[in-house]
Amino acid sequence: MGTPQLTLPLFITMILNGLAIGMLYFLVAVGLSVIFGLMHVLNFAHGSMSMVGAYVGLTVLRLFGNPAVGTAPSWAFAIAIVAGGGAGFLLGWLTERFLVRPLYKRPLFLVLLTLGLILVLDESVKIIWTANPQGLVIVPALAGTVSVLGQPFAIYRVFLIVFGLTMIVLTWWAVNRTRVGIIIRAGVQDSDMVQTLGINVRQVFSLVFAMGVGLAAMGGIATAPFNGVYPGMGGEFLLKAFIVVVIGGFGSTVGTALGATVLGLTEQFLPWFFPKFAAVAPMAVMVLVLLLRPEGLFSFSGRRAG
Amino acid sequence: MMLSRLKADRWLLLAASVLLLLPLPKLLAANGLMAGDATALWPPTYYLQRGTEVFVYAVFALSYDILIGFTGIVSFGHSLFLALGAYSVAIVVMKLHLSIWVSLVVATLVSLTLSVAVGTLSLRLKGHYFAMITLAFAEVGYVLATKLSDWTGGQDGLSVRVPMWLVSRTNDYYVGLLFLMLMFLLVRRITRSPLGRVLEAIRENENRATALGYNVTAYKVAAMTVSGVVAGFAGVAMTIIDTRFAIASLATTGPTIEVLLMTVLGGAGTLIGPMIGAAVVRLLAYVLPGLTDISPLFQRWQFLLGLIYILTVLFLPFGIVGTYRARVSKALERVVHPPARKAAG
Repeated sequence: MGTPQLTLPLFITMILNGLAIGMLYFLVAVGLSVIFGLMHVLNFAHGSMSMVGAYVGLTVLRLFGNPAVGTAPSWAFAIAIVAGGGAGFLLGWLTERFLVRPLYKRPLFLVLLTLGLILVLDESVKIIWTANPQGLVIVPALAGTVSVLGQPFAIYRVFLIVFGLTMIVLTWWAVNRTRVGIIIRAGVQDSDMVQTLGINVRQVFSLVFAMGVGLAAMGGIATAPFNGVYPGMGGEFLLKAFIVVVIGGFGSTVGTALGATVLGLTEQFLPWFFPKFAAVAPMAVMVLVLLLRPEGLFSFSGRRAG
Repeated sequence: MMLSRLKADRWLLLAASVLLLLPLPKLLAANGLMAGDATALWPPTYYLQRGTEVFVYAVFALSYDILIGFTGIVSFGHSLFLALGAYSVAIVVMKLHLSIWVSLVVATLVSLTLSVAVGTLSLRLKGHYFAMITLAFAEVGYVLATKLSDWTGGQDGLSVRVPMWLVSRTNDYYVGLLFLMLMFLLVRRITRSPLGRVLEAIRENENRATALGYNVTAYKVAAMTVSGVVAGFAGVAMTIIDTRFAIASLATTGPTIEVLLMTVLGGAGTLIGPMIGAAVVRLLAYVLPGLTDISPLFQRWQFLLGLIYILTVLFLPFGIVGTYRARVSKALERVVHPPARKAAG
């Protein structure tokens, strides 16, 4: 085969690439994981919501210039991330408050509802922004490459790794070191018991849903510089997020971070060694984990999936 | 007595709708549409093809209803079986150069084997986990369909050559109608059998069914098998009498969401419901884009469909037919057991 030799510099850039993409997967998946862990709602529209955030972020970015040719200033990209995240937060909050809440007692219909939301959100995006892909986004300050042991490596991916790690630390801090975080963790264990102890879990539900979708929306706009923004991205994100969460275990932020990293790295290295099966492999892993260890590979509490 | 009257009425209604559907090709011909009337909005075969399409989707919706309506499990990978049926026909006919009759046998065996396999593996999981694993299976099917391009034609798909007598859209229409009637009777027979009763018991309360001594998982696998095979048949019919085409996108979540819409909209757990749902959704798919002159919003008719669907889930959980039946039985109840009059004074 004509594959170049796997040298050390190449190996390292592949690891870095895997990490960068893994960070994106973390952002998209962590909400899905915590929302399911806490409220037992599997939000099938999570990927589509992330996509809506990406579109909103892109639109805000365009107010400052044309991001496709790099005339939008770099600080505007920061605003776009915040705007996209904000839009996701609002979307998540509205969804929980008005659509999900009436259905907590009917789990079957909750699944049906989020499946319907996929259709509505995907079509809304096509109505507002047309069905055409929106093209890549260039962030001037983060364009270009740096040299890693002689191998070129995109600066934007360095930014992604830093940004992602920051978000992981922030999420971890929010879940493990704040009062709301304690309620969330207790709620994942047994939300009825938390309610019984006189804490209004329902309020936390809204917040978690909104935060989760907000983070996913940030992940959506953060992919724009190398994958663009396009109508099919919701479905792709959903699948990736499922794989991450299944590997990492539902309800665990640390597990999600590990799962996302594993998926990011796997996607880098598998095509190298098994070009034929690389596309099926993530799904195959997901099926195997679901069958053999449905509580997740990185879940140590021994909670069984039900 | 009232109830048996109602049942007889239902049969009359079914018979009437079949009788109404039968002469459609003749009617079109009588109006000169069949002769290729240049003034017609669409070519005459257009209407027949739409009808055939509705029949095919109605069968697909019936198959999904066995899972969601009668057993109470949500599969997010049902499109896999549609694709399996379609590709079985396409590969046997176009790649192995065997007759279409052979392809029917192959399609049955393939969808039977795979639905048993997928069912046995995935039904060990419940609820959301089951939905996710079925999605993963369908996605594997989709990726394989795009990658094994020597057999599947890759992204381009495979078009299928059918025997001459099936090239006529009129014949397709009648074959489709017959197919739907047969499948309806089959699914009806199964849902009313002891097996169907156990499935309904599982839907109502799985723990209770287990406590009564039923092997719940085995029954669910049986439901998934029946459902998978019928969905496979729908895929077969799609490639033979409707699109004459097998394409990888059949295995994506698109068809699954659409069939979910049809089933829930029409009324999960009834048999008429999903068929009506299929007709409504497929016909809207052609009517709504035609209204683009009124508002460009109609170009994206799926958006409206999604809204209708969400409203159905929130406010009309039993769908069109389910809600109608609940109304009727309530009215009947009032006739049979009239509310006690208030005692005077």
